[in-house]
Amino acid sequence: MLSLLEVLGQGLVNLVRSLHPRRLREFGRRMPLYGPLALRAVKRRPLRHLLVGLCLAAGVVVYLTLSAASHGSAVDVAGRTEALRLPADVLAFGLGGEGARPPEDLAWAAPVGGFEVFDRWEALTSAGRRWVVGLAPDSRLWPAGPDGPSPGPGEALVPRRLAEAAGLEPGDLLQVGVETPLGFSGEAFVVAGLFEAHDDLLAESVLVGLEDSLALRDRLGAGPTGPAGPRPDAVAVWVRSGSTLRQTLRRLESYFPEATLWWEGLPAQVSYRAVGGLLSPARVVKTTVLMLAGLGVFNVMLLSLLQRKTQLGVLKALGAEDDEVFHLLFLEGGLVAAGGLVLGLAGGWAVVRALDVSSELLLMLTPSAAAGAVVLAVACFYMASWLPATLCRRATPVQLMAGRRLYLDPHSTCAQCGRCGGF
Amino acid sequence: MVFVRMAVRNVARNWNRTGMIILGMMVASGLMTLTMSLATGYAEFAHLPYRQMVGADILIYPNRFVFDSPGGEADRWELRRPDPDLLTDARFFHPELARGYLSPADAPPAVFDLQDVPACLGEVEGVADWEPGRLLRAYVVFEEGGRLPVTLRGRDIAADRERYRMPGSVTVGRYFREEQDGEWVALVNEAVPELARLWPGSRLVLEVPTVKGFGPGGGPLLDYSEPRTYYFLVHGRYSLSLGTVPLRGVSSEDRADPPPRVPVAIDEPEVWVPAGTFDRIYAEVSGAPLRYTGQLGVTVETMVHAKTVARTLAEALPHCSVLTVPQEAALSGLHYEAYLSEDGSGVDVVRAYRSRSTLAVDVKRELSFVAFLAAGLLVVANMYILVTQRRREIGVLKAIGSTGRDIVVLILTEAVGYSLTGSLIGFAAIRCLATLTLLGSSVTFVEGLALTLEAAAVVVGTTTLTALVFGLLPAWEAARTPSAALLTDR
Amino acid sequence: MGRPGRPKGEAKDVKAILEATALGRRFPVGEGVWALKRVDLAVPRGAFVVITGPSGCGKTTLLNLLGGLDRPTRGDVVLKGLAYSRLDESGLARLRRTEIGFVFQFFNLLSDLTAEENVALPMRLAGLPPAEIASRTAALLEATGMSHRARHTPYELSGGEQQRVAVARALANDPAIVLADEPTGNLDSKNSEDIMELFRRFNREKGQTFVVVSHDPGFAEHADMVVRMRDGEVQALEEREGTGAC
Repeated sequence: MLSLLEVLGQGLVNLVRSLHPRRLREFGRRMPLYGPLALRAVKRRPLRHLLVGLCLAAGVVVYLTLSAASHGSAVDVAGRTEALRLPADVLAFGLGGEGARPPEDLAWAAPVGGFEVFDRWEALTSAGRRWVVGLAPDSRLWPAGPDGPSPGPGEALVPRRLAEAAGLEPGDLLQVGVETPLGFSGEAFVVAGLFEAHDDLLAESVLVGLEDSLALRDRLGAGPTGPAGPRPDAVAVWVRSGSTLRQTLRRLESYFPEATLWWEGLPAQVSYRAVGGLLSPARVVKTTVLMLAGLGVFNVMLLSLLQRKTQLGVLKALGAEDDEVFHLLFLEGGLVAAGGLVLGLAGGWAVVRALDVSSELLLMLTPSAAAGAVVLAVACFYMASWLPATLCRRATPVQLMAGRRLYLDPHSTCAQCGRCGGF
Repeated sequence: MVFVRMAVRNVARNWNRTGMIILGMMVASGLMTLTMSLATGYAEFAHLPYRQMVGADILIYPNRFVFDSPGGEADRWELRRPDPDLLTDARFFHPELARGYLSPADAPPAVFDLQDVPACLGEVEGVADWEPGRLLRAYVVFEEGGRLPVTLRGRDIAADRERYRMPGSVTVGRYFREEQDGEWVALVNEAVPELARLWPGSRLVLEVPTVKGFGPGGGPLLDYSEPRTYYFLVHGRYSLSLGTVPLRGVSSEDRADPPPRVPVAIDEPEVWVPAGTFDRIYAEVSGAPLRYTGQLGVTVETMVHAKTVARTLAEALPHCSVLTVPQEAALSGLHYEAYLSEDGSGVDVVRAYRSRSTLAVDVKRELSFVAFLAAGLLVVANMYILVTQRRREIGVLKAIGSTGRDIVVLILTEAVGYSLTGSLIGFAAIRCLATLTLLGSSVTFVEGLALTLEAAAVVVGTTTLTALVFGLLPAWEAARTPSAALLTDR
Repeated sequence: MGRPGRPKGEAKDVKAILEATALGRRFPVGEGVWALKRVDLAVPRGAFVVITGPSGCGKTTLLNLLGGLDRPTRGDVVLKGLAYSRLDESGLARLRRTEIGFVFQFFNLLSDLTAEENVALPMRLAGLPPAEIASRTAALLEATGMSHRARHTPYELSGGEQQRVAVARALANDPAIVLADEPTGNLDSKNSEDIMELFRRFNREKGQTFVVVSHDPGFAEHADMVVRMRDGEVQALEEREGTGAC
């Protein structure tokens, strides 16, 4: 007796063999004979084949509905997610320290229209743990623009809301530093002014001059450094006209593989992924349901074979080859499965539409979900039909006509008494 | 009785074929059991170390960062970053939140106002008690030099003693006594090497940044440049053991058989003080009593129903994230790994997070229904096969004198036999895991048995009922059909 | 007319169209049962051979082996010079398609097909052109007296009518030999007589070679060769006048 693994292995080999183009072509030539035979067999036992079709159709409907619900929910939430407000098209933080690519290389990057290097690092302050953003004097990122006022050396701009919460006013001192083994170590900056933060970069960030930021980091030994000392760790990028945001993002990812990227649509993408991930139980369920449908198909196909042993034996006795009988059984089941698949696709579409209209859920059926349902359904059907068809293929005409037990591994010395199993 | 015996013999003789039907029943009932079991609670010892650390069974955060019921709501979502100085246990379980998370755009600030506590905490059945999260940033200052950033956590001594068995986790020294609430005593985490040097009776110097105000997110603004210093008596060291993990990086020649295992414990650098002590510190550094907190910790009466309680609280607090601690632990994929140091001199224990498990929410009722439906479909198919296979045999039986009633008895006996066998096996296979954990808990035997029997009744009952209904109709039809027609049936 | 699919290597002018040499078949029931111990048989072209014997003597087993429906444990069968042992399952199937016709006790018509479709089935398997199939089918049904029931399914035919259709099917591809297993076993005396007459007519007029397993004395009366079997062996072989005539 073959072990289960050997049987499965042989099964896979036979599965692939049966799909060999030559065999399929030979069977195709006989379609005028076997096609009507298969159709006739289906028509003769409508209830049984209806059950097969319904099993598959139900599996496909569930698959499509859950797929539509997942995708629809994800798209719905992504659509209700607010975009980031940024002063540039893309911000990249954490470019990397020594050994990382210099941001100046972006000058040669085609999708990049313009870029500006700035510094951003986390510091402990007397107004909490904050981002410190160091900008060049002519930076476009200043709240008042490149031509507006910027803090001088030793000065800092603080967001108005933060200042009010911390009780800071212009002229007060703001400590900015890091925790060291000896305690807090930092420098005092004079609050030169307050600003309204209109974008997500500057909100709750303390703004200082770029040189001040780098110098402080150098003194404190904080943040990434380059060959010549601390190097700015962030870059703001504007997309060149004619290029796309996606191209720019890809270029930045390739230049700075460790960087964190922000762009306007980031929250929508995060929400899309988060919802999709959270609904993966649905992914498990819908696949399981389709496989269960395959199990139902298998049961009925097996019954179909077992009740027609004599007929199939006669067919073999008359000269039908083993492979032809194998393909015939698949053809029969395939006709029904095709019908079930079409019914399932139509039913799935109808259920999705009905739920979309009647409930608050947003359901969106995508071509990939339909394709996935088709592929899975075909695979389930094929795997479910393989055993009955293989049993028939391996049996001799005498075994079939005599209604004897059928085995996957019909041993020549086997009496086929059924004591050890068989179908 | 003859037909009952015949039915039993048929089942035994055709085991290969019937095995397929029983397998189908097993899968069907296993699927039903899985969906039911996912909704049941935990044993008392489930993820106890994490519950000990947190001092709660359910955590409630004021902000939703896990999508609970997407779709069908008018919320808008936005990307937020957690308030850096507002400590919650979410940063332990989900460090990736620091990069940003999605939250309802119109949600209130990410803090609970203790003067306006949600009423449901006192009303939901199964809630034993609740406490605000008492967490502050602090630094341990070592006399020989050096500082260690730690989390200062205030403990509810009564709950720790009665519910979380904390005295058993103290390795050196003793756990707080209830009368020590408000005193300057501290416990430190032995799993942190710098803290493991501290002995009971020694002095612990703690620096706590002062609270300058409250930021837009509701969290405290800490002035790190002007901390306050506190002196504690070390009362003991605790260890929240997570068992052992295999040692990795051992070369094959040195590898013992089985590979050596290393004990690991939660290594979060924390200093525990009594809740009253924490409140005193907080009042001094902020100038006001503790009012705003980033989390609420709920203690339940029994862990068996923790998920149910959490779900009820979640429905009552739609803007909050409500998760049981085991759920948090499972979601985070948090685990520890032990490696042999590169120079082979010691062992490095590393905390790691697997990619996020997505069973953040219970399998929703709709999915459970779908699973039941799919399982039912399988049962129907099996019943169809069972009866259709037997039509000729039924014809023979009728030809030799059996009545219609006998035929129905025969078929239904087999149907019940298949469904009971298959569903019991399927149920047991899935349910045994849950049952084992129940047996190992402080849930009484009677309670545990009742829970299991309840689930069994639903699963086995549903399967058998479906089998009976869908077996009865074709059996009855076959019983009524003349035997001549049955004998020629192909 | 062309006969696509005929096996290659057909020898010419062989007197014995079918030869079984030292044929044996063992079934692994209990300690093993030799249903057929040793049979040597040569069937002349155009002969009408009847195999008879008590139940369980191995008649049907012998017929199955002669028809390539089963593989012998020992020995070999040669049909028109082609040894079965040299053929794989596909080869045997092709052989059955074109050179062997079967008539079974329980008719074994395909219930999904009408009478004419059942008769046409072997020809379609052999890949004959549709026009030829149609004409041959009509001729065969006419010859077996079933033209008026051509469009009926087996459910609509009596036992005798089904067996007539089965005979027509067996002769569809003008096989080298027709093997019949108790062809009248399920029929009343009138129908049995009709079937026997059909067999005789095709043997006399067309020179069709028949090997018939039967208890029916009517077959043995007109046989060219009667093989009496017992306990898996040929006990007696009786050749009558006219053996070898074609």
